[in-house]
Amino acid sequence: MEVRKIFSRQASLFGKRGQERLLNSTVCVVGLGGLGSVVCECLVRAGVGNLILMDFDRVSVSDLNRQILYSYRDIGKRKVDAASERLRSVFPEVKIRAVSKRLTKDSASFLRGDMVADCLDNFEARFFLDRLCRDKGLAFVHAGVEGLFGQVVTVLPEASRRLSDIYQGIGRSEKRPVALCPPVMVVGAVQALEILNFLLRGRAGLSFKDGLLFADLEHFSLDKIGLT
Amino acid sequence: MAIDVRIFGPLRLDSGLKAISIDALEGQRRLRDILLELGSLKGLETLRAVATEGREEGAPFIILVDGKNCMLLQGLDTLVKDGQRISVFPPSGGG
Repeated sequence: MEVRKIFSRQASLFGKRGQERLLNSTVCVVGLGGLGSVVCECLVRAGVGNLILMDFDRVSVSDLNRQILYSYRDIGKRKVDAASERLRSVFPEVKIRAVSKRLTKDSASFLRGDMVADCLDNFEARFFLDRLCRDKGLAFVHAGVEGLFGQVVTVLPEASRRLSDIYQGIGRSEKRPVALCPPVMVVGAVQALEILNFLLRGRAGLSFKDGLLFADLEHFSLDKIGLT
Repeated sequence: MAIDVRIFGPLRLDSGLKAISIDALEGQRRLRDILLELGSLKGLETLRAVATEGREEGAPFIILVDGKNCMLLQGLDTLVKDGQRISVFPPSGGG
């Protein structure tokens, strides 16, 4: 099929079986801001066949400096709709379940798939997602970004060390985080690659289940901080 | 006899320091004392403030001792031993 030729340049890396595996995989992306945009874009261009997109928000003009799924014409649209339209324009066969809801106990039923991407924008929501993933037996890849810094870490469902343990005691910032495109793209791309490696190779493919990647684009360094 | 301290994010930017080796003295030191010593260095004054005010909770950065959040140990009273590693990093909250 002509549309599958989209993936011809990566065939030697993934192989036919790997590509089929991605086409049959489902990733739930929670939060369609800067990170969520990059993660979705990378996953769909890699050939992930099924996405569940969750975000309650609408596109605003101040999103456009970094949220690469949206254009000026999308302002005011529901993010899940604008994102779905964009992603289907890249790979028409992608199956998308668009959930325009905030993550709550009631909307948690939409949280499923082979892997979850935490692309939320505050720690309180992330800790809630962490608890839901644990209860549902789902693995998730967390990422956060602010200014020129960001981090990525993977949490498996049975892990005793949860996100709230890693970030225990973190202060709540009253300021809106500085957000610009290049760091969001770097951190989001790492998050997407971790997800792809999991889909292709299972747990053996994960790089950040025992350590947190700290991205420093001020000094152009990527460090893995060991976690116990 | 040394404790390895790794600094990430704005603290690295402000201090120009990536890694610091702290004398473990008698083989172990309290985290509070280590932060006080580090806080005397230019750009790391925030660490001194955290240590003196005892506000490891609500700080803009996480302190790990051998990969474990100090809040899950004994906080600023955690005894850090010779050969252990302290990592200080600011988690980014934005998405």
